Amino acid sequence: MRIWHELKIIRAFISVQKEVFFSRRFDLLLQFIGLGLNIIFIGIFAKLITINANISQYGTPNYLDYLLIGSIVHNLVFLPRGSISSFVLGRVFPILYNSPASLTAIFIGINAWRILWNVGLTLIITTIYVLFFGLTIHLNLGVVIVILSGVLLIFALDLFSAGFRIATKATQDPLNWFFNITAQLVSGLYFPPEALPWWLQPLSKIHPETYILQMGRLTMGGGYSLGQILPSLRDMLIITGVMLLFGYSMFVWGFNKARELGTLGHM
Amino acid sequence: MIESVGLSKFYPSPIKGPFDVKSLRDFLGKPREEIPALIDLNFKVKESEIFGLLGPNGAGKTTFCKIANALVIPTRGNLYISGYDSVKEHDKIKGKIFTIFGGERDLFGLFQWRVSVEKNLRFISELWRIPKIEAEKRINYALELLNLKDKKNEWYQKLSAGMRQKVYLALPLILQPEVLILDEPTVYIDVFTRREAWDAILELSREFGTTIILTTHNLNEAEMLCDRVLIFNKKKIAEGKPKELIEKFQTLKIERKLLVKIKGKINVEEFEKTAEKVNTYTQNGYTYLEIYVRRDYLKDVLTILTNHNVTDIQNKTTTLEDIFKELLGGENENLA
Repeated sequence: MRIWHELKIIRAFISVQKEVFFSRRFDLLLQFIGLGLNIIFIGIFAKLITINANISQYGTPNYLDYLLIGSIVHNLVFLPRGSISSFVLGRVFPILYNSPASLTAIFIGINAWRILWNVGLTLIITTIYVLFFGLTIHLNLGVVIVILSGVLLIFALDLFSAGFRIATKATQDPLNWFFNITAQLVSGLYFPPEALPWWLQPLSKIHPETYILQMGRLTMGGGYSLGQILPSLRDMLIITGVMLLFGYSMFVWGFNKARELGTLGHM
Repeated sequence: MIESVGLSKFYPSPIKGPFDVKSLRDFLGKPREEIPALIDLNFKVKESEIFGLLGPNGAGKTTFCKIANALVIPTRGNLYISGYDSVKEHDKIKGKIFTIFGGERDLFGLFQWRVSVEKNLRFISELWRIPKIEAEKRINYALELLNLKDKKNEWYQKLSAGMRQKVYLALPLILQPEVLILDEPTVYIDVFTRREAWDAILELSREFGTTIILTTHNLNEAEMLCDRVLIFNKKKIAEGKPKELIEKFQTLKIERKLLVKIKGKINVEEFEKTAEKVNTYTQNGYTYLEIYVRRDYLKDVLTILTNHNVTDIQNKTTTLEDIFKELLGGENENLA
């Protein structure tokens, strides 16, 4: 019964956010124009580039597949980034904190439409890449597990970052910012990590996104099964579990600290 | 229904710079208790009562509202709502308490600007788990009571500021919480709309038995709506029914307050032995006097006035506002 109520709340959020979203028709048109240009630009860019690296070790046959699968995985995995701090630090929090709905349902509800829309867009982009750019995609349980564990890991980091931001009332988000920048630079999103200078290679090796992208490319691009990537996935799941614990503890500490200092839901 | 037991909140002082070690200690450990926001606040509110919390800016009204909403942890003491500690047992009162925060016209951004008034209200009803048919009835009832029926299908962003405040005030009528906290609820609205808002507040208390705590600067509003009021400035100064407070105050201090307009000038020292206090200002050749006088000396004051060219005189009854000003001006602190 409780779950039913929570689902109804999530549905209510989706319904109202969808209405707001589609009321801005010109914005929507501009978004699709931007998306089209982006697809054409990245597709042509990836076809023109020749890179001196062993691309096949990542499970993808060429650089185009390497880049496109990397950006699809990155876009999906990074969906929860910034969602917790923007929820708790946002204006709407004080009023929703006292509603009978659970904070989990509200949190999912607030982010649901954005996530659904972005997943939809990623599917459209992927379909275009498959149909017009010859991208090869494999879908199996391995892909789903890799994406989900990546999402959980980013969620854990976001929890940690939100705890810090709530406690300090910081408008900047240095942790997420650092993680995102380094992910683009060293994790192999745009080019293989082996092309990095030697002094950046260790950072690439400790960056979780490197492993998320590696496993994403192996399963989605190379068609590797869950069993084949299990040893690496197991390590990542352990790191995710530990980070979730750390993130949650930091969040609870930050939340209570803000309530002590009177900075939560500042009015 | 609501009980504040020794409720106190102290904040640390603000950060003085990037190398402020004390602030770092506050951040990592237990914060210093330097700036008082509430000191040992005790009071009880009965079921269905409208209770006014009156205090100047910085008295601690918003801190109180935040504690009631579990957004601030008190330093000492407890606030019980329906028998539950508002902070420690927050889960048990979720949904039973609803707060309208002053200065917020769009429910902290929860009202969607490009969605109709009705859909906005229906969405919030869903969050409060009100069944669809019941929500529909309550929405129609609230819109009718607040004269908003013709705005039902309009986008929220097309409404004027006062209309938006009314839509905000429709929510307690729809959600019907056990406890309603109104933090300066009529701050943006005109006198006509304010009347409708007052009717809505009274309706909630009478029809649905809602217990209401009202914080306001508008003393007329408090006198009109509240069964009892508490005047405080971080700590309690006076508590009672508005009429009782006025009577009590009159016997202690003011018998009469005369407003007098005199052509020409007057030396206020003439009232030295007869009046409690005289405020004066001159404008366009007239002197305006505000004379506070005890009943025994009324005749003497009027005798003095007959020697002057009095063009107008009014006997002003004492209001809650007079008491508020007097008490918070540092006098009569023993009234409580």
